[in-house]
Amino acid sequence: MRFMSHPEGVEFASPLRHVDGIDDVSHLGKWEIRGDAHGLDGEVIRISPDRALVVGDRRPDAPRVYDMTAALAAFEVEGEDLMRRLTELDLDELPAIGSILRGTPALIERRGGERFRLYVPQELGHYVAETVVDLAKGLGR
Amino acid sequence: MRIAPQPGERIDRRKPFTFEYDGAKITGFEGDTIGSALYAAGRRVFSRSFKYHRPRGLLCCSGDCPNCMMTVDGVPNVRLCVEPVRDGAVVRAQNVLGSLDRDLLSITDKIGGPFTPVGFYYRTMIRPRRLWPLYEKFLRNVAGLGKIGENGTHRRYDTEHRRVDVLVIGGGRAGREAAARAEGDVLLVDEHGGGGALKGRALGIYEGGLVPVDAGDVLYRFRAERIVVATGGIEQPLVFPGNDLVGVMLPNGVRRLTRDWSIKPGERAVVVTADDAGLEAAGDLRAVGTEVARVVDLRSERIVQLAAVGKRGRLSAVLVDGEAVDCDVLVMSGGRQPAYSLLAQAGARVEYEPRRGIFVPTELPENVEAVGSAAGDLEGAAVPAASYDGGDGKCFVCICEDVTEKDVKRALAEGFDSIELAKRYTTATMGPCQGRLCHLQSIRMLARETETDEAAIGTTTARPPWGPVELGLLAGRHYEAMKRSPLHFRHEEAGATMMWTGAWRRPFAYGDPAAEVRAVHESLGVIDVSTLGKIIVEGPDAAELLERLYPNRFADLAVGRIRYGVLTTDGGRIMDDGTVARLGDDLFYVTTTSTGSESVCEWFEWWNAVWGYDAEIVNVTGALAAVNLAGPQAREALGALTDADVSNDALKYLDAKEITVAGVPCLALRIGFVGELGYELHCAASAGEHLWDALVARGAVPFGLEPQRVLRLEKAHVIVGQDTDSESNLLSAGMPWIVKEKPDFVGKWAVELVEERGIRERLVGFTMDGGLLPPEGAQVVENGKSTGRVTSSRVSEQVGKVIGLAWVRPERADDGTRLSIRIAGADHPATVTLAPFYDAEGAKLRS
Amino acid sequence: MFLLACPHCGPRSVDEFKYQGEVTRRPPERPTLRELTDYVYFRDNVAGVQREWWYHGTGCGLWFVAERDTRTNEVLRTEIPEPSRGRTPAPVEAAVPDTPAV
Ligand code: FES
Ligand SMILES: [Zn+2]
Repeated sequence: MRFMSHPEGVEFASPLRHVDGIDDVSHLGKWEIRGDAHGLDGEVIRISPDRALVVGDRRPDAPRVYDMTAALAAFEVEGEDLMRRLTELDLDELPAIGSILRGTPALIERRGGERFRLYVPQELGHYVAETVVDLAKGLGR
Repeated sequence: MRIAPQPGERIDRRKPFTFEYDGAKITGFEGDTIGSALYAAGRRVFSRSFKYHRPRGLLCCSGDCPNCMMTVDGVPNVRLCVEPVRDGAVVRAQNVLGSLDRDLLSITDKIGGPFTPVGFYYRTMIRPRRLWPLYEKFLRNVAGLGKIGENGTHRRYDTEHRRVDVLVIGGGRAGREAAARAEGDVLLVDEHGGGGALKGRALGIYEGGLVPVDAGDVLYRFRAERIVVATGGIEQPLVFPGNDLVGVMLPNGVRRLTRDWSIKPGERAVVVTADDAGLEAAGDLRAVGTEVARVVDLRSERIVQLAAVGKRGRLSAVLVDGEAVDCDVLVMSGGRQPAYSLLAQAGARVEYEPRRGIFVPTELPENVEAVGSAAGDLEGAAVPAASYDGGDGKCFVCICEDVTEKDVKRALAEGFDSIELAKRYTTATMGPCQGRLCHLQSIRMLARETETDEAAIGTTTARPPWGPVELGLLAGRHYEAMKRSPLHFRHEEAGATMMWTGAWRRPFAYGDPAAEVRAVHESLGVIDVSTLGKIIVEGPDAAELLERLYPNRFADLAVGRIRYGVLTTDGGRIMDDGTVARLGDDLFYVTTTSTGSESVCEWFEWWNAVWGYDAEIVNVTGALAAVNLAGPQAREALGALTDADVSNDALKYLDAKEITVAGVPCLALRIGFVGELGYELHCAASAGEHLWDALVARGAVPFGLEPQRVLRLEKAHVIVGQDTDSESNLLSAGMPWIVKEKPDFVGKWAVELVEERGIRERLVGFTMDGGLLPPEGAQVVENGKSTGRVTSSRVSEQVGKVIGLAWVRPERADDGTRLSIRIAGADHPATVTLAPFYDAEGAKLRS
Repeated sequence: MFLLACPHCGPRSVDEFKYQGEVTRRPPERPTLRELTDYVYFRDNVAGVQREWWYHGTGCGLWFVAERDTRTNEVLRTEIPEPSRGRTPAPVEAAVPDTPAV
């Protein structure tokens, strides 16, 4: 399934390329693992009992791996106060996947301190990022 | 009015603020509210009552009653007694015709009896019917409280989620002590803020410890492990004739005016009280120089007669057992009632305590605690009478809704004897105070009139919100979760007219839809189909899973081949359609309709949760961009952009193959939703623009949804959800060929039963004899009766006719049957056509 | 907006989930019209504890079964149901419990 992966030599068109004011990290390699994800390289985020997301440049060595690099928009924001305006998720229990902005699914992880990274479906990425920027404005940023 | 500075006052006289009230400039000080500044400036009438337009003045100064509501800066129903003064605020009276002091609508007070009796909502202004438009105009004018400016400014509301271990509601002494005692992450909220409390009003207690708190522009949604309710007690009014006159106040009103704002409320006062609060108010009055002419302590003095009389709605004297005392202030205190509403919402039981004459909360849910007055921890008070008489003035049980003692008696006489019914019929307790000042009074009166006790009458159900809240705050921000295809910005750049399809924005057309149709038929078109649902099904049991989900066969599908598939439910309903390509022995690539991707994926996962096949179901809808390259020149264009062999032998109709196009690895599916030679190319979303640009550079003309709908209709392809509905099944939709003989699939039994019993309707194609276009939804008629309906219709230049799909009776479903279709009231002839309108044999698709 | 404990994610606000109705019983073999209609359309609609399907749609994507008291919204238990191991051909599957319908 080479067609799932972004080809070399072609510019990576991030779903967030038209949003200002966020740290876009959509280009990071994201791999969905089905089944056992123990002992894999890279950052492993468990999604459900038999699903995990691995973030990293190299394709993990596992029997069932799906390239989700292009499927998920990813960006980072600063501030617990901002996060609390986005989601009801417990910010002390991250990473977690749940609802933001009343009904959009997102995978949220903490990147140290008050920095958070959000992964959202690519097709909703622009909308989410734009809304987050606006919410940040409401907090005076 | 303002007295000399006194210790403990809450105003800072060095900091003046000026606002505008009805054109006049009014000045107050920091610490004042708009209400106190107006009172200090001599204003006594603050509002006109809901039904009778009687003058009303400050009563509670706590934000509990309806009496001081005005429109501030365009926002209606602001309680002035708790609204801080600010420079430049524009304050206007509401619910008046004329001015507060001379309100023309107060005529309803004089003649109101016959016009606005209890329950008038339900029975006046109904007949004669033809006058309803007039009535409606009148009612709309006088109904409701305040007006929302049509060009009102848009405010910004936000929602914030918070988690705490303990949430304490109410910042009085008990609340503050509870907060200090509590362990963990503790938060105190109070309507008036201060003392480290978050300023906001708790609107309710919901399941799961959810407490929404109204903080003006922000709605806090607290999730608390434990909730402590310290909402205090509410000072209760007494029920007697004239109890709504301007000048009649609750003790707290006097306390705030005198102590906090250093205002002398009036010249001469009478106090009638069931507890110490009234006595304290008497002291407060004396301290600011108001003469206290008479104090009636109901705990030691039994009175039978109590009435207030006034001129122009303002208090002038009080009658106590025949004795008349001139005064301009009357302090009434009927004791305090625990503010148990939030507790009751949380599931507590509320019990009547006859000794103290109040309702107290009991049996609290596990995670909820009550402290202080809210818990019933209140000093003893005399139990006042349900009402006192002594005059012929109106005797209000509920001042928000202008419900009098007479109204309650009348409702009872009409049979509304349960508290819930009486409430709805009289609307008592349904106004802005939400029962704070009238719930107990209504119950007491019903008890007296029905000769039972308050316990037998019981309380009404407590529901959120515990206090008025702006709808904007509840609605919060407007979120419009718009899905954008990876090619979205290309469409915008090309000036496409965009339209909503579900949550997606898609191009309707880039210019002239007919020209785009022509391009596909004559040369080459390209359409963004990234919105199609895409699911990978992989694993040793993948084929078997699909076999059981679809009516047709997939186990025998060769690798590299594609089959059309329709999903049905066990009820036989058609739920979605799409294609299934086999990319490997254990690997299938499924497409769904654009709106069906999530539901189909859920559906697959649901059944697999039941069956437990060894198959992964991976929704890759967003991972991939997809385009359909279609037209007689499609192969040539594709060939120029790839090294792969795309000849008709190497890539046949219904073949699936991975090829690289313009440097982008693609899954090429040779299928056709439109009737020309075509290829669907699926690639990584992030490379979509690159692929699109290459195809457009090769001369492919972008076409939108509208031209696509014409093209698909020429092929008589069904759109699930448009041409089918919840009654449609495979046989009636004309797809019997898709049902294959196998032991089980979802929907098998329904289809078999339909087969035995026969279909009631059939979906057919039709052409209009003339050139008129029936709207979608037009009726198919026989002998003037509707027997079917049109679901799709378009003008097809290619076919040279108006074509469409329609549901008809099975007897009328044979090829060539003549139909009548009603368009704008007239019937027009049409002919049933079962084969596709264009290229019926599919030669073009295969070429 | 009560809380529902996803067997994987733990307690979450109910609006993260999709409710899919009572657990029904799919007939083990070809039903009569009456039986099919019962299975597809009729629900017990109990005032009390019922077993029902939930989908953590705005979350981990798990399908699970909850036991909920319909009067109080109290969720007594949630579990990932034991699949009926669909490898066995359909007719042999005499008792498919917990089947989704409609
Ligand atoms: S006087 Fe303002 S609410 Fe009662
Ligand atoms: Zn979950």
